[in-house]
Amino acid sequence: MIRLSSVSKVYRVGSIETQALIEVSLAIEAGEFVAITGPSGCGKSTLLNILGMIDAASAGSYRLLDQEVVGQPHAALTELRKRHVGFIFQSFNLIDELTVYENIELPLLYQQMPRARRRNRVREVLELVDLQPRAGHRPAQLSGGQQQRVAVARAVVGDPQLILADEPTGNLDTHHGDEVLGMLETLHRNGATLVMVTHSQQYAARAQRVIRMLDGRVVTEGTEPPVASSPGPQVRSCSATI
Amino acid sequence: MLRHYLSAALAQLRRFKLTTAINLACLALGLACVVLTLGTLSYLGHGDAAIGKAPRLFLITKDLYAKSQRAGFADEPRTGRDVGVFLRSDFPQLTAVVRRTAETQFPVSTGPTATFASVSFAEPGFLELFALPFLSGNAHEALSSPRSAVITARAADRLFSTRAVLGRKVRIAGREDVTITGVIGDIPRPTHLSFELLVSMDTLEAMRAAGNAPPVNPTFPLAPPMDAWAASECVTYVQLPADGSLTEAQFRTQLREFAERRVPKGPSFGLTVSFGLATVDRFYLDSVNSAFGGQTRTGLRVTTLAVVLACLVLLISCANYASLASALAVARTKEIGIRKIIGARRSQLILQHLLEAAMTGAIALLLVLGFSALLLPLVRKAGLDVGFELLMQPTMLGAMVLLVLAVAVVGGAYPAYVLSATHPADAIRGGGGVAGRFMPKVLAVAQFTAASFLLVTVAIIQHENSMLRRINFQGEPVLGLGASLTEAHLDFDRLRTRLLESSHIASVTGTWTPPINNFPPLQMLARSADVAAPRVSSVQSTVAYDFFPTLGIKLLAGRDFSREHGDDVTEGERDTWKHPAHIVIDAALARQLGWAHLEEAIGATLYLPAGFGLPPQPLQVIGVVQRRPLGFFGLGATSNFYFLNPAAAQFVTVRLVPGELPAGLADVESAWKSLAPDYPMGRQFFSETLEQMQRTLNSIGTAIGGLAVFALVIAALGLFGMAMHVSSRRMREIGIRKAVGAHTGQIVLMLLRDFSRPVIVANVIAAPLAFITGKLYLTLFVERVAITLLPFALSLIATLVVAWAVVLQQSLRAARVEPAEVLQNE
Repeated sequence: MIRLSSVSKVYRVGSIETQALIEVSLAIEAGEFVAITGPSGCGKSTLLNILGMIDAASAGSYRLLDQEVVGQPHAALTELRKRHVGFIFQSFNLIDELTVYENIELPLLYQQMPRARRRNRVREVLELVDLQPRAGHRPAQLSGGQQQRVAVARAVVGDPQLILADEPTGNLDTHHGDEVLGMLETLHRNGATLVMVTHSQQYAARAQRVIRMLDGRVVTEGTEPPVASSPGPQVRSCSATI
Repeated sequence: MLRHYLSAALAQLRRFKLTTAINLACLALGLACVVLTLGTLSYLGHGDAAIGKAPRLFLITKDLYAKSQRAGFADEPRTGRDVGVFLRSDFPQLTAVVRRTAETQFPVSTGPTATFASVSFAEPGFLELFALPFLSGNAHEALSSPRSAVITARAADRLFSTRAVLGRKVRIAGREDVTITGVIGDIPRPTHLSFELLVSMDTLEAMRAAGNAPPVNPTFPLAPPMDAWAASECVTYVQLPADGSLTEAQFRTQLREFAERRVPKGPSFGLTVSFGLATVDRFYLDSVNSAFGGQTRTGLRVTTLAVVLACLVLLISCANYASLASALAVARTKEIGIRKIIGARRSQLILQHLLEAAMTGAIALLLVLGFSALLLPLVRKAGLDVGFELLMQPTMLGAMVLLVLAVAVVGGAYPAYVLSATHPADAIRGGGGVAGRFMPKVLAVAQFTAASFLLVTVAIIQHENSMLRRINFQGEPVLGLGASLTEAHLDFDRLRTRLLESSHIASVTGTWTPPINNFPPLQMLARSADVAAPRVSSVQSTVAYDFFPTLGIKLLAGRDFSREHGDDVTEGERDTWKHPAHIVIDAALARQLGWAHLEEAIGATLYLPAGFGLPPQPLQVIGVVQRRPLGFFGLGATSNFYFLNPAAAQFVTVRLVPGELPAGLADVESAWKSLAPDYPMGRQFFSETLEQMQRTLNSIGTAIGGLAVFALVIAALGLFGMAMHVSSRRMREIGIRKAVGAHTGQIVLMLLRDFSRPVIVANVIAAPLAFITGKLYLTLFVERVAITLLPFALSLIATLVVAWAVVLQQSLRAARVEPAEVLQNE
């Protein structure tokens, strides 16, 4: 599904250059659950941003679903991202002025899905994350765990093939972190490709493969034996369409 | 999607309440200016809407350009009296060609006492074209009989103390008796008809035939036959044929050919005249536009100027919106970044923000309309017959929709562009919109530039107005008689002799034009006949004997005009002069022509330039007098010269003996009445006339001052909003500065200094613009102040004080932040 070949990323501020990624090459197959770990500043989030096409590589090749991404115009990348990628962030990144329902609905609006279908889909996903009673609430009225569940719902409402999660449990306590990770595992079991950046070795161990990074480079890749996952109590049913 | 955009827009308005309030206030003010201007023009442009008019009715307009004066009038809705006669013969297919003279103040009397009334002479067909509100008399026949007149009810009350006046007689100009054949009620305003008496045209023709008709609104003196074409005596109405044999478009084309065919040409005359068509409802606006453009010698239309100024105010408001929205961009970066990550295209984000701006504009417009509805009763009480339906006309509604769109585009385009350019990865990392920090400053500079420009201009105007107060006749009992001697059928010498019989009258003189004149005749003078010789523009006056002592103008060199020198008198056209005309010049003209000592000018020859087919005309200087302007406007000239021609005296000036004013005034009245009992004598002291003019100038200064305050308020509101957001954005930096040792006072000073920069830059940009504008304004006047640094310094101080007052509270709030609070949240 994903092929990176010698991808580098350089940030320039005035005359100062920062090499965030140095010739990173990796491949992620469809349906894999991959964790990316490493110390702060090693380039994990940068790599995730490039995978999600919200940042552009300075050099190298990135193929997603057999399409070359590097060099594509912004509009084309937006379309690719809209249809195939769902994002989950550490700080949730919900829009404060919109309700839970509206936050989840937003990707479908940009996909110009008809209203009736949109309504049904949002209700479906609200049920999946067990937040129907909170549909009319705003993010400020929710707990951290609930906000992250909304973020998860928003990420999957468009039925993306690829889910990118940047420290999804970073701002949560253990209980809620387990909850969220359980949801992500369920999504993975239902066929989504999941790439998760995490500091937590415990959560990284639950992935099928762990990529370790240091100073902008991939230093090791390995498959870890799967840890018995905590049940995902908030996921009511596993729809094949997720 | 549209619902989402609207709901997101409302959410943003609620989120930033103070910014929203500022934006609504500023946009409402700007929109109010435009709506008020458009509403006023719409009201004035629908003249005579309330009275019935004949179909296919137009009036003839005139374009007149005088090459030598480099001035002219365009679309003036008046023509010479003979134009209608030629139109009848050249266009027999026209259903009607009807003439009505422009309203003029005529002396009228119904008994022993004469007074003035607004009189218009009209052909009988006029009453077929307009359905006037007759209260008595027959509308179709009222002007058919000779020497007939229709009177307004108010004029009947004034002249007869009753409205039952059918069959009563009114004497016009002390000579012609007309019979009242109709009484009409008030014609609803706006209307182009302002007469009190509408008299049958045969009366005027009879007065002309007898050779004693007074001039009716003459333009500048011209030799016939051009007079017939260039004059502005009549409104000429035409009705196009019902069978379509002559359409409006065809008639317009043929009118151009008519002018080519009929208007005489002379290679050196320099006048061009052409004709056009206009609808009656545009009469008032066309008159005002034509007069303004002609008298300012710019061709500018008042309507255009008014709309431009109003749009300028709206532009400032939109700039304010753009500035605040751009400053807000930092606070919205994350939201925009998320939207982009989720899949929003740039065009969708731009549309979202344009809709936000449109929504703000629409709410502001609703506020304006609501406020207008509340003010309507007051407007009606002031005598303007307007209703809310004026604003509900299709053109006004269309204009309001366009205004909202304009606000969306002009105010919202830049913030939309800035916000939609947010880089999603930067947004997630917590970076700000780069362009969002620079543009608000640029816009703040633009707003303060407008405010500073207006403040400096107002300061110059007020300084000039106070300088003009020096032109006065305070304490001098100099009286101007308003009536023209020709109209009153008075001989100047006879009147003068009669007046000087009174011991309370010190001296009497006369002038060809009113002595206090805001549009004085100008002439170019040179010291050589050489066409390349430098010329000076000077005000030309034709006076009678004793002009200078009567007006208190001292003789400085040479001599005054003298009865002992018969050749001092200059009469007739210049091509008939047998010797160089004797003139007196003032000290200013002497200096402008290069004489350091005034005596050197005595006996010198000056030249009127060649023109109208005539060679340069020599003039001889016989005296130099003190410079004493008799009006405010010089239209470029700041000096005077004088011809002597007592026979041409039309307006009389009397100097009374001080301390004996009541007796002197009584003697003046008595002298006039003894010679012109049927012609009322208007009079006003020069000091009163000049005071009235001063009040007009003060009004202009006040109006521009109001605009300056307005612009400053909008700029201040914009700066307040910007300060609010900038301070929030700099909290972290302030926290760090305090953590490393900065005091609150130092932080406040730092912020005030930063907010002062755009204000200082604005003053620097505005200064040369205001200087040029001030200089141009001052060229209109005969006395001019020097433009010093003072108005610029005052503007700088005023704008800085306002800016500091506005940002101080925000700066203090930011400076008092606890470092731990800010840095911990980071």
